[in-house]
Amino acid sequence: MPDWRYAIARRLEGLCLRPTREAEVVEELAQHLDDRYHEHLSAGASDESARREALAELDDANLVRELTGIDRPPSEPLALGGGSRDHLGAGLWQDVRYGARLLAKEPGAAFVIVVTLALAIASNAIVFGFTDLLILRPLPIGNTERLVTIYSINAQHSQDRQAVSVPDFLDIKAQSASFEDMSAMSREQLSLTGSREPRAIQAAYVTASHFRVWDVPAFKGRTFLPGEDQPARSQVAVLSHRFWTSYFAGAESVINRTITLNGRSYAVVGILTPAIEIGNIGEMDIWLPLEMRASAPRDEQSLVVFGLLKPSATVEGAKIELKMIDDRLQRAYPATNTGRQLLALSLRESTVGRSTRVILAMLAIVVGLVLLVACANVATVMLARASTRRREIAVRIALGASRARLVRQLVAEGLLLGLASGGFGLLLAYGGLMAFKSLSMESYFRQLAINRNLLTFVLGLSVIAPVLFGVVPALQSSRPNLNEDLKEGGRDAASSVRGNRTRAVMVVAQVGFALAVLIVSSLIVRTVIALERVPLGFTSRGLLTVQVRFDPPKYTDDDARLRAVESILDRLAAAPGVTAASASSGLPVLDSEPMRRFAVAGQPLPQPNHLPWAFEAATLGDYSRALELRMLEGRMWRAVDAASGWNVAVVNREAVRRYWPARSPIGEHLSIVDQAGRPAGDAIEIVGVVDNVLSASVDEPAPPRLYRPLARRPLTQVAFLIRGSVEVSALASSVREALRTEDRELAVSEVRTFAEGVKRRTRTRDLIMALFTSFAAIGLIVAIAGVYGVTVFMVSQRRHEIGVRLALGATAPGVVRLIMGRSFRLIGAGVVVGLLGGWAIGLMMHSLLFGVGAADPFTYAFVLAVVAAGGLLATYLPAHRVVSIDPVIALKRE
Amino acid sequence: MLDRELKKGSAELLILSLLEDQPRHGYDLSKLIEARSGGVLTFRVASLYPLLYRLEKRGWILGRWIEKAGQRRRRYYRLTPVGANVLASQRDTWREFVLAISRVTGVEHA
Repeated sequence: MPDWRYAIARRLEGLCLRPTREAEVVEELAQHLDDRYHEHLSAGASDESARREALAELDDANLVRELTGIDRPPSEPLALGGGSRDHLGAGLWQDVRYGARLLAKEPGAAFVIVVTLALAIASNAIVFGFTDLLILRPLPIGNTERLVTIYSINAQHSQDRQAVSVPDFLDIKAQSASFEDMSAMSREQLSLTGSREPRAIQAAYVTASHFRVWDVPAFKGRTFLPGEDQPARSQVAVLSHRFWTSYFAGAESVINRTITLNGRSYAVVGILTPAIEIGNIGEMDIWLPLEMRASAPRDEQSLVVFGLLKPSATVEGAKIELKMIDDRLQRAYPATNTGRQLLALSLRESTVGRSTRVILAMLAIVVGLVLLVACANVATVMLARASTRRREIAVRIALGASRARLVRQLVAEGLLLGLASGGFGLLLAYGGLMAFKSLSMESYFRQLAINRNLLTFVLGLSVIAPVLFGVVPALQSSRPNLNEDLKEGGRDAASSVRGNRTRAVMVVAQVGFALAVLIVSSLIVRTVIALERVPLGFTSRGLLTVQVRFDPPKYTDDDARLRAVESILDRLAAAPGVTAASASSGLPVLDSEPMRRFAVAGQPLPQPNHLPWAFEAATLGDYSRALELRMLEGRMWRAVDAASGWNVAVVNREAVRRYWPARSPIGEHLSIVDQAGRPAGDAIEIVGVVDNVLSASVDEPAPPRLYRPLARRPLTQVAFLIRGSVEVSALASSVREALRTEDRELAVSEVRTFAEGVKRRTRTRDLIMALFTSFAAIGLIVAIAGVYGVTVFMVSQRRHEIGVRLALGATAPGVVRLIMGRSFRLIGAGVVVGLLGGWAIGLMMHSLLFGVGAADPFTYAFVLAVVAAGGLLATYLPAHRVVSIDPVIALKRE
Repeated sequence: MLDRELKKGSAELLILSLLEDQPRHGYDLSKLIEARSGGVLTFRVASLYPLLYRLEKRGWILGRWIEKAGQRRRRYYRLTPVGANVLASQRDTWREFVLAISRVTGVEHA
C-alpha cells in the first residue's frame, strides 16, 4: 500500500501549520486516499492507475488557498502538552499531578524548597501577626476615629507621656473648644475584703463620662450615669468581664450586690464588655467613679486624659489648641508646669508608640529579606532542575507542546511547592506566635492569633512566592535551543552564559540579603546585651523584693502605716539569714518616681523653669546596705532625725555634680518649692551622698535623685528590699514568714528577686531579640543552603571538564581552589552588597540602638566571619567530593 | 456536472444535511454525496477537506478522532447545535430559492 503522507505533507508545506495540526491533516487525508485507492483497485484498476487516480484528488490548484486559515480548530487537549492556547486552564489539574510526580521523584530538592520557603513564610507570618495585632486590627472602642489621648511631656527631663494633673485636666476641659467631651482615668491598687481572704485588685478610676467618650457598652447591667463621679453618688462599681468570671464565677446575681474596697462599700452596677480587655486595659479588675477635687496638687500627675473630638474638629486642630492652653498653664503655674507640654495623640498612635513602629518596620525588613533569600534559593534550585530537564522540555516542544503550556507546567510545579510551604509555614508560625504569647508577660499579646487576615497573608505569599521563583526558570527554559538540547550528552545548561549569569545573580543576592539580615539582627542583639549589662548603680544580685499594701480599714492614717512598716522592718531584720532590710516608696529602676523641684539655701532663687530638680525616693531602714549602694559621704537616717520632723535628705552624686559642684553638700539645706516657684515648708538638711542609680530609662545617664525618710509620709504601698547571707529561696520563706506574723490580712505581692522583676519587665524585649536572632539564623541557613546548592550544581555540570583536568595532571587542591575561587568571587560580591545594605538599615534604626553604633566594627567582623565560614563550608564540601572521585569514572559518566 | 459556483454555494448545505442523522468521516461523506446525486456531484479531497475544516472552525460541525475495534482511528464529524440551526435556515433559503427559480424559468416540480 502506497504511503501518501509524503505527498500530502509536501503540498501542506506552504501553510506553516503547527506540527500537531499538520500531523492530523496528513493522517486524515492519507486515510481518504487509501480508501479511494482501494475503491479503484476493487473496481479492477491496476495498482499504478489506482494510485494515480487517488493522488489526482490532491491536485487542485486551490488546495493550499482553501486550506489557509484552517489552523487552530477547537480540538481535544493532547497528552503531550500541545493543547489549545484558548484553554490554558484546561489541563491544569493534569499539570499539577505531573508536577507532583516529578517532585516526588526528586524528594531532596522538593524538601529543601519546602523547608526553606516554609521558614521564610513562617517568619513573615509571625511579623504579620504582630502588625495585624498592633496596627491593622480595629480597636474595640467605638469612637476610635474621634478619640485622642492627651499626655503631658517634659522635654527638659526627657519625660515621655506623663499623666496629667487633676487641675490641669479641669483647665483643659474648661478651655478647649475642640472636644465634644473629655474623660480621665487613673489606676490604683486596692484591697478587696469581704468573706474571703483579702486580695489586691487593680482598679481604674474614671470620670462618669468615660464609657460614653470611649463608646464602650456594658456586657451586663450598665456603666456609669452622668453625675456618678460626684461624692454623694460615687459608691458604684463596674466589674471587668475577666474579673467577674474569675472572681465571681460569672454569677449574674453579683449585680446590685455590695463589695468592700479599702473599707468602703460599692454597689456593683454592671459588667463591662470583654472586647475591651486588651493591653493595660485588660489588667483592670474593676472600674470606679473618679471623684475630682480641683484642689489636688498640680504636680501630682495621675490622669490619663481622653478627648472626644467634635465631628468638625481635627487632631491637628486639637494639637494647636492644646499648645495654646499649655502656654497659658505654663505662664500661670511656672513652678509645676514649666517645660511641661500637652501632647495629643490619636488613639492608634497612643497604643502603638514610635519605637514599636520602628521595631515592627525593622522586623518587616528583616523577614522581607529572609523571604527574598528563600525565593532566590528556591529559584536557584528550580533553575538547576530546569537545566537538567532541558532535554525533557525540548522533547515536549518538538512533540508540539506550546510555550505557554510549558511555562504553565513549571508554574504549576512552583504553585504546588508554594502551597506546601505555606501550609507548613502556617504551622510553624502558629507555634511561634503561641510561644510568644505564652512567654510574654504583656497582656497585649494575649490577643495574638491566627485570624483571617493572617491566613490571607500566608496564602498570598504561598502563591506570589512561587511566581517570583518559578517564572524565572520557566521563562529561561521555555526558549531552548532544540538542536542542542536534543543531542545526546548536550551540556548546554552548564555552558549557557545566560543560565550562569542568573545563578550568579541569585548567589550574590542571597549572600547579600542574608548578610544584611545578620547585621541588623546582630546590632539588635548587641543593643539588648548592652542594656542588660548597664551597671544600675547597685548590686541587684541576691536582692529580694516584695510589695505590701497598707489599705483601710485597718491602716487608715500615717501613724498606723508607719508603725506597721517599722514593725515589719524589725521582724525582717531579725529573720534568719537577713543581713539588711529596707522599705522604699518604690523599686529602684523598675518603678517610676515623682519629680521634685527645690531651692538650694544660700543661693539666689532662679527663674521657676531653672529650678534644681530631682527624682524623689522615700526610704526607711537599711537602704544603702540592702542595695549595696555606695555611701559616698555622710549617713542615711537616724532615730534622732525624728526630732527635726524628718527634715533630712540624702542626695546622689549626680545631684551634687549639678547643684553643689566641687563642694560637699553635707550640712547644706534645700527646700521644696510650691506651685508658684517659692520655697515652701521647712528647710531640709542634707546628711549624706550616695552613688548614682539609674532611672527606668536605663539607656540614659543617671538622673539627680533625692532620698527622703519614708517615715515622713508613709505610703499605702511600700516595697521591701531584703538582702541576706543565705540562699534566695530560704530567704524568701523567712520574708514571707515575717510578713505573715505581722498581719495575716496584708495584701502582699509575690516575694521575688530583683532580677526576676527585671526579667518580667524586659521579657518582651528579650523575645523580640529572640525573634531577630531566629530570623537571622533562618536567613543564614537558607543562604548557605543556596550557596551549597549552586556549587553542587556547578560542580556536577563541570564534572566532565574536571575529569579532563585531573586526567591531564591537574592536582586535586588546584581543582578545589578553582571551584572555590569562582564561588568565593560571587560570595565576595554578595558581601559587598550585604555590608552596604546592612549599614543603610543600621542607620535607619540608630534610634533603637544602645551601646553600639550602626557601623560597629565588631559586629561587622563577626558577621563577616560567620558568612565566610558558612560559605567556605558550602563550597568546600562539593568541591572536595568531586576531586575525590576517579577521573576515569567522571569521564565515563558522560 | 453542475456548474462550479452552484456546487460551492450548495456544498455547505449538502454536508450539514448528511451529518444531521449521524456522525460521518470525510470519505463516507464524499461517497454519499456521489451516490445520492447519482454521480452528478463529486467532491475531491482538495475541495472536501478544506470545506470540512472551515465548517469546523465556524463551529457548525465538530471533528473527533474515534477508534473502533480492529480499525485505525478515523476523524468523525458531527453537527453541533449551532450547525443544526444553520442547516434549518439554509434549507428554508434554499427552498425559497428553488421555488423562485422554478417560477421564473417555468420548470415545474416533479
